[in-house]
Amino acid sequence: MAEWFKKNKILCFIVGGAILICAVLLCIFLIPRDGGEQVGDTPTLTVETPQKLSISGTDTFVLDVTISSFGDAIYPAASMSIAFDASRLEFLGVEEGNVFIKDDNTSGQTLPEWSYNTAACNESGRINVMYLDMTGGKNAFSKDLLAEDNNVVLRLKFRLRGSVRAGDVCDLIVEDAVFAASDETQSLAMTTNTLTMKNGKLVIGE
Amino acid sequence: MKTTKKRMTMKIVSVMLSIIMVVGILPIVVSATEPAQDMVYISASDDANYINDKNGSPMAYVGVSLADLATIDLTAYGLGDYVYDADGDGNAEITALHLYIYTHTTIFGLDWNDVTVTGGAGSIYFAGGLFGFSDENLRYNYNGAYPADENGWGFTADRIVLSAGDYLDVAHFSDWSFYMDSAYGFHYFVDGSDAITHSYTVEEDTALSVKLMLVGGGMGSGDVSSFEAGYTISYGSSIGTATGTVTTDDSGVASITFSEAGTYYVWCDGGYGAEYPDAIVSSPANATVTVTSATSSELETPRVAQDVSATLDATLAQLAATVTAPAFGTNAGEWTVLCLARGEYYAKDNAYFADYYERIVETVNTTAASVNMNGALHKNKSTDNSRLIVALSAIGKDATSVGDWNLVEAYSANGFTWIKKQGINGAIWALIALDSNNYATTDTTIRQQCVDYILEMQLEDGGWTLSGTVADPDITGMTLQALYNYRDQEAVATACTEAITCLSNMQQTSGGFLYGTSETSESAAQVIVALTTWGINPDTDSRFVKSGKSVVDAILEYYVENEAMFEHQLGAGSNGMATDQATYALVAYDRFINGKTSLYNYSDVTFETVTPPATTEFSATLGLPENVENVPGTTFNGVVSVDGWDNEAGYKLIDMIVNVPEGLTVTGVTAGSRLMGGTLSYNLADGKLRIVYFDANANSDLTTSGNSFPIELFNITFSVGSVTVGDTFNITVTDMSLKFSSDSSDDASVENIVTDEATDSITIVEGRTFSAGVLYTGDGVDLIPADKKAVLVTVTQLEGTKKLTYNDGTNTIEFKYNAEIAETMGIAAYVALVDADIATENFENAENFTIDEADASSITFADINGDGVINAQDALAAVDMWLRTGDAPTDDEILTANVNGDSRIDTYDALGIVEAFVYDDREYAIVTKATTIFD
Repeated sequence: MAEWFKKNKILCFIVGGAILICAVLLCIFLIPRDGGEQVGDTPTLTVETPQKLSISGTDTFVLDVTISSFGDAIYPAASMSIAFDASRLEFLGVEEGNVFIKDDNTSGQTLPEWSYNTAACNESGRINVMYLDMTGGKNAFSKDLLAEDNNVVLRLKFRLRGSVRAGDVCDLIVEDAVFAASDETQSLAMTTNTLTMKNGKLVIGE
Repeated sequence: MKTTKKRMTMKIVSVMLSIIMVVGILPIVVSATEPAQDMVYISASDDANYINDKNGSPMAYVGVSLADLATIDLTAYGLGDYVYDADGDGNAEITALHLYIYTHTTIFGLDWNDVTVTGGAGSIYFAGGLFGFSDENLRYNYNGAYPADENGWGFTADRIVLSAGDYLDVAHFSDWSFYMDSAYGFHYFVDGSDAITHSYTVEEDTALSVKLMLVGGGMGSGDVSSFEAGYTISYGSSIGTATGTVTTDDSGVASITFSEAGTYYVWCDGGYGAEYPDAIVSSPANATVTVTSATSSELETPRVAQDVSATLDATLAQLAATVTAPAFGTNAGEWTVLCLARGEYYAKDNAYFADYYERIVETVNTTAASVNMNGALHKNKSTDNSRLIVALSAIGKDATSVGDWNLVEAYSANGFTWIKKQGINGAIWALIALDSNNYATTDTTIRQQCVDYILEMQLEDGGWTLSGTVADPDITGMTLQALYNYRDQEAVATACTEAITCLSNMQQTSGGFLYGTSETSESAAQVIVALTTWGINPDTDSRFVKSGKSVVDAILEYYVENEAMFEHQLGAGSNGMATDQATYALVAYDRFINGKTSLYNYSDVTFETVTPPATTEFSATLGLPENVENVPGTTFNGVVSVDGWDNEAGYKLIDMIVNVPEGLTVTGVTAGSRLMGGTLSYNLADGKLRIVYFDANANSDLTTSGNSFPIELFNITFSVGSVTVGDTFNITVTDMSLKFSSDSSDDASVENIVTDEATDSITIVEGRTFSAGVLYTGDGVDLIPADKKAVLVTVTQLEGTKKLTYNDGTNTIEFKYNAEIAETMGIAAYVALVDADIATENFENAENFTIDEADASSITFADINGDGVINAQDALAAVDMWLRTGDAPTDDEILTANVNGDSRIDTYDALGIVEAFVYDDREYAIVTKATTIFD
């Protein structure tokens, strides 16, 4: 057997190299990302990670929450629960994104009004934000109103608390998220793995 | 020398003028015969030209509503001495002084304090500042003549009593020579019979003869009229911008031909003197020219405003006879009351309205408390408040105090976001409601937010719509009604001018209007109300008569005579809503042609004086399980709840005492998850549990989350000591208060909570017992059948979540374990939706139950899809249930969806889920309610 390897040394290198490349590619595409969900064609909700924040030069900052795509359904409701370290970050509120919903009043489009409570979020360390179209679909999210360069669902505004130190890392973890369709099988939901997520991470520098 | 002589002459004339005005005290009351509307008119010129108002429009025969003038209180302008009661009936007359004030302040936007007023009552004299003129060189004509008695003495502004159709011309001359010049006077256009007119009508491409007259003299010499020969008359689409001129002949006549249908103007400038050729000594004149198209003109004949009183009377009588007990709602409710009140079928003090008001007070107290949004009657529909305010104001009831609630405050407290939930409709009706009695709002921007929002929504065609890009007549009509009171804003005036044109363009040859593809009586009704609000006769104004048919003709087509009702569409049969709208449209028209205030202008209504409502008191309740087993160390919970909370009040501390009887002890107290802002301390001593909740460090305000009540404040865990089976222990809450500050000497520093109902008892039992209560029974309206009720069963001596099955020989029911109620009450708790005719006592009979060791199925409130996560999917499920977009809900879906614990599943439940989610708590009203059902 050893004699065979000696005789076919070049072939062995080639085969071994090919196996190594395949393994690397598999790692890149199949190993789960943050949160343990597999990333593929499944729509992904992302809390965008900003560049390192300066502890001295930062007053307030905003994190975008983006969606990669929608399915064919319309989504009259959406919610997300995002945990954060309330001892080091003060949540200041939600700002408008640029993903529109249909506007039944004008037959055009408008931005959704998200429900949230700043005090409750800071008390619990969890940002619970929800949009609910009480018409059941006339003012809903849909893929025809989602553009590649306009995919910010909402923006989270924060301020660093005095307890933050350079070198701290603050995770923003999506605990639950759903873009709900009336037919639940069409919903994009973390609970059913029809919506994947990427958590955000804040790195505090000098 | 010449200048000195001239000044001397001027002074003499000035003195003469003052004397004339001082002496002229006899009143005159002149009523105009045409038009019989609510409007009076005023022109103002400076030398040769009309002056412009604050928006840049010429002050040429500008209409002002008498209703608007009636709102002017002379006393408020320091002119109380000039209040005039000509007929001695105790009511002050509306005089030219009112018109001057309105013109000066509202039309010109000037400060009345800049006007110098001298002279006594009957001889008021404007020495300077009026309309921005720097001196007193003013002359005025009233209805085309100098207002003088038989002796030639003039009437001053405070003695000129105005009636509908009257007009005043005020001219300022910078050179006093006009007093001595023979060419002095006021110019007027006259018709074929030489009567003064401000309007001509002619067919396109047909020569129009206009005639110009000068009315001079006056001031004791009598009026001298002559026709102006060789005088230049201009014409065009707007006064001051001429597209051509003509010159009058020796008879004062000039001929003009307009080639296109439309609205035009003719006017002349003031002229120079004969003896003083460098001075302007006469006023300008103007008239509107309506040019009709040849085709329409051929079909049309001159119209006389028709009398609809017979139809109106019959319809009002029918409404009164069939809607005998109007109540809160769109049908047989506010609109009917509006018709009967503004149609003056019943007097304001009639029992019909008094009984209605009683019903409304009851409804408002219940509904507003349930909604709990500062007087809102619906969480999403501000028009519920608006509709009711419009009706209540029509019968003289102050909407700021209806039962325990201020319906007006809802707009400020809930903000424009609440109003906007219904789109433009919400904003329109908010304005109409707020202006119905000029209600003040604590948020003073609310009205303007509505106006701005409406203006933003205007379509390119000039109208408005609920949805789409093409104007619909209903919304355009209603918008015009709402914006009338804001017409002084330039943007509003422009928008409404466009909208009126838009309506005219939308009118069909039937005289009616299309809503979508069909003509409806409701569309015609809203247009009639809009036009009458704006002082436009919907039956005769040429813009609203098509092929000889007016919108009044159109609406009468829908009248079903033998029923005294109206149809929605022709041939569709009579309809309640169509009848309401058509009736109040006829009321509006009838009021218009009889010179009364417009439909929603309630300045003619006497409002009752109300006393402010007493400060709202909160009440507390205590909820306990019914039975507790006799094993020492057994624990159970008591829940202290309140039925209200004011997050704006600034509460700093809450404290209370709980009387704990001997045999029981307290092992813990927790604050409710919806109570925020403080930390909890407590101590049990001598049978009294003292609880205090406040923020000792930051002294921050105590608040609660969500809008559903009652709300759990504290949960007390009691432990059983040495007790005997059959013992009953009463536990009471006393001395519960909310404190604003530490100043005990200040009564206002504390708000006591009523604790009369904050008492409950438990009974010590042996072994396993069952207690049952009804959480709610369906009302058959929204998804929960009327023959179903939700039952809560609590079980003593039962650990874990064992399966509980009810079987009475007829019914077999598997109960669902509910952890939320169990944890709150400290006892095993199960729920089920059962037939309402099963006696609740049957669920307290242990023989009817079997308990298996296997785990029970469980339900979690709001987790409608049962996936273990409460999120937007569940909130949407509640909405979809209410919208009936899917299958009928299962019993479990009803149990989980009805989070507010009332008799139906509706959008309140969806909003309850949203609120609990964003506040990150999971305490729903149904849980708090569960703690009290054994009281």
